[in-house]
Amino acid sequence: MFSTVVSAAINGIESKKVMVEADVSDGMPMFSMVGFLGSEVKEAQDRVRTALKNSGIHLPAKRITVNLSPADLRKAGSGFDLPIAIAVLASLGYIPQDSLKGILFAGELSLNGGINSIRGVMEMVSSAAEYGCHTCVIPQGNLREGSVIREVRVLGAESIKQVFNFLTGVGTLGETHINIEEIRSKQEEDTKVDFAEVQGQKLLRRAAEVAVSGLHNLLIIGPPGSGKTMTARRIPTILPQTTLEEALEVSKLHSIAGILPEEVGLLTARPFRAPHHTITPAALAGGGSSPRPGEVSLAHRGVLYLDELPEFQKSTLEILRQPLEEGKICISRNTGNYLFPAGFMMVASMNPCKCGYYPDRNRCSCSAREVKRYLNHISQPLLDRIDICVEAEPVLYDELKNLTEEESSAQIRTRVTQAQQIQQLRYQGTGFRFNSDLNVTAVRKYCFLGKEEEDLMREAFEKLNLTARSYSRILKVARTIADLAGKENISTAHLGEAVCYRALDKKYWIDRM
Amino acid sequence: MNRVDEIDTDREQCWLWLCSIPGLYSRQLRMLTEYFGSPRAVYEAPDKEFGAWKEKNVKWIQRLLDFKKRCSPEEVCHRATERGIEFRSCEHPDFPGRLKEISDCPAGLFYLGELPCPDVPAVAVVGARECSDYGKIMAVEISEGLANAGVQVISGLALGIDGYAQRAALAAEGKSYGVLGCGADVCYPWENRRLYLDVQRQGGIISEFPQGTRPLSYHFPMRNRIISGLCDAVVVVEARENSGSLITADLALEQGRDVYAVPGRIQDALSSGCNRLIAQGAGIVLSPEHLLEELYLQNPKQKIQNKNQLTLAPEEKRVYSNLDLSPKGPEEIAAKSELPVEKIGGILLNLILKGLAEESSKNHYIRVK
Repeated sequence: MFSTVVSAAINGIESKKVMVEADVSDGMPMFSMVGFLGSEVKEAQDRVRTALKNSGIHLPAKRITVNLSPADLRKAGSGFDLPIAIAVLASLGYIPQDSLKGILFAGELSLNGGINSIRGVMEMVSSAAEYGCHTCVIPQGNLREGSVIREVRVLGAESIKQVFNFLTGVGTLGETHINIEEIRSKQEEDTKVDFAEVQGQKLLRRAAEVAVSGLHNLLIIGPPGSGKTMTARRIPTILPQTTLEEALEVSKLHSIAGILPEEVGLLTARPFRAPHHTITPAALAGGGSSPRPGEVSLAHRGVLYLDELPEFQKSTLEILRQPLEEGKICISRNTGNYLFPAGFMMVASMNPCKCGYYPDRNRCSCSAREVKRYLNHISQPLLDRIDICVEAEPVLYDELKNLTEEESSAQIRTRVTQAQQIQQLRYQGTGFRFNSDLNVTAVRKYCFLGKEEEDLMREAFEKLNLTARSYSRILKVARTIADLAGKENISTAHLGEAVCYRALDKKYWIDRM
Repeated sequence: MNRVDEIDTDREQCWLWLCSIPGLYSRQLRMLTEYFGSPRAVYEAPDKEFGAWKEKNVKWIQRLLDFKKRCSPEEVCHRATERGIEFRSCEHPDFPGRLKEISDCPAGLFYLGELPCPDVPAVAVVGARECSDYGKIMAVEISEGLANAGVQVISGLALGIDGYAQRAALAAEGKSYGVLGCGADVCYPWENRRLYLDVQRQGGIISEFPQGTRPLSYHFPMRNRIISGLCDAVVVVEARENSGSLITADLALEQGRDVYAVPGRIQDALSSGCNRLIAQGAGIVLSPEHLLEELYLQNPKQKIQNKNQLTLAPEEKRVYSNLDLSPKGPEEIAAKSELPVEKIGGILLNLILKGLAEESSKNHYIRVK
């Protein structure tokens, strides 16, 4: 007898519908599987057979053939164990074929008949309606993430026996209700970091606020112990709250990467990824023969923090160019091309020289050449994509001792959200989202300068040796500062502050010494 | 009859030949000329005459013998002319008189451009390579003052103080001379190549080492004695303890030159050497004008004091009054002038555009006037 079961495969970050077909016929007893299978799927037959045996279901000595269609799609992942088992049981007539209609199955079997968690459940469940399904049966461990999707009924199963009973009408499966607001407030509470803990560092705090408001990339230069990492870690807390859509995007990516915590279900906080500087290009971009999201994708809608920027391999940093430009990354493998989202805010930090104390000549004895060599590690194209560059001063004892009440993340977030709303209104229907997205023509249009401001910039351009590139970056940042102040026009004070944050062109930066 | 004819060109050529021997320094050359009587005699002496030296296990004799076989004085002379390098032996009337006075006078000088004029006062401005902004500004101001007073500024063309001082002298349309620790045709350090070329037009590049000599570490103390020997006074702008600039100062004292030091804060490592010099009795530089007075020189171009004529907004005045020569970050400036940090950027930009402040390194500001 022949039977089919609906399941799904994760291809890149997309879910693809897969029909699991099983047929039981007379002949030599065997279990054969076809359909362009990855090795973990080929192994499924042993798990299925043993799990069924240990659940008290006896497989007759017959020829069992399983096909996973479409046959030209490579199937990877361990989620096919459960649908294969169900299809086999249905083809043996143990389960009525009608009861499988409109149900998507996914799950990995354990030898004792239990069902283990798998990756990418949220994406599968959210596409289930498209596949004409009204119900999804998923591992109990993935129930919370699956239940976030409201369009279909989501059931969690702990063992194959439970599923068997459910399908034969003698048992039920667990369901759960997810309150998204509750999750959000709980995660907000659990966030242990707050901007109020950053003592002193007024310039750095301000620069971070401006950077977040216009989603400008930020470079922090400063001696060791000046609070670079501390500040960077708190940047996600002043970004506006994620919308549900964004939270789903982030959670799906984490689910596909297999790092979504079981008890959470939905990640509402903005991600903060801080890869170590020894990271390989593949780990940053996303690697594997069927690639999984890399650090740039896991930081999507959040912050990618690169500590000790000059220590990263040049080839690794070059990877960042496409994501910084387009907000996504394209990875080509022999199994196909994969497009991962990678829209993050980049925050980088570095020491001013090898020992970290330049230009404090009492502590730094690096020669000019050593300082140059250190700075030369960063590529100019990457530097060109950083709008705001700020020097962090060492923290003074007085600042540590006089614990003054600093502004909390929530207070800063209110201002940032307002500034971002202004931008969203202004750029409606233009394809831009933030001031940092503006191109040269758009800068001319949206960063209009009055006569006085124009004169100031002309003078500054000559006196400060600005380049065309740094000029437009200053205008973009000035636009953000004006938005933050709720002003329609950019004033000279806004420009002055933006000049203060400009990332020095490397040539100029080095030649000064 | 003009003077050139009075000079024994053949003797000069032989001096050039002698000075061009790689690895032989002034002490050895003096021993040779004293023994043989003249440089030509050294060249013409048969190899066996050097036997006694060889027996004494003098290593450099082999270098001399090798060079003797390889090149004749005519060839050496031709090669130097090809490169545009000029040579004056210590017997030549053009050889700097000040230098002749010193105990370890070089046998000859190679140079590009010209040699310092003997009738014009010369002052050496030296200091640390890794200098602070304070040192940089002092070097520039002192050197500018000296150049304006017509003084020739002599230094070592190194990174840091030396380079800044020489650049400032050239910018003030003065004369400047760079003494190198390598061949005159070798530009070291490479970062100062622009200055190396400029100095040749407005002064000269001087070296006692033959062309193509590499900048070896033990050449630099030797070159320091020429720096102090060529000038009337030495000004040390910034120096750590045990710095090379202090070697120059010590040599200057031995040679009977005046030594001046620019004082600094006592906790600044870069000023400790200078402060020690002052403690030991060196002259103190209170200002560029004060230095000129000390040297009995007049400053012909009085600096136009425009400080009072500037119209600054009250906030700008507040910020400006809190700037000085040690670099400060916006945060510190904001705290001292009691202004919000986001306003500081605009005010600083105005001050920079008015030429009153400068961003010395990323987000560090200093006062310039």
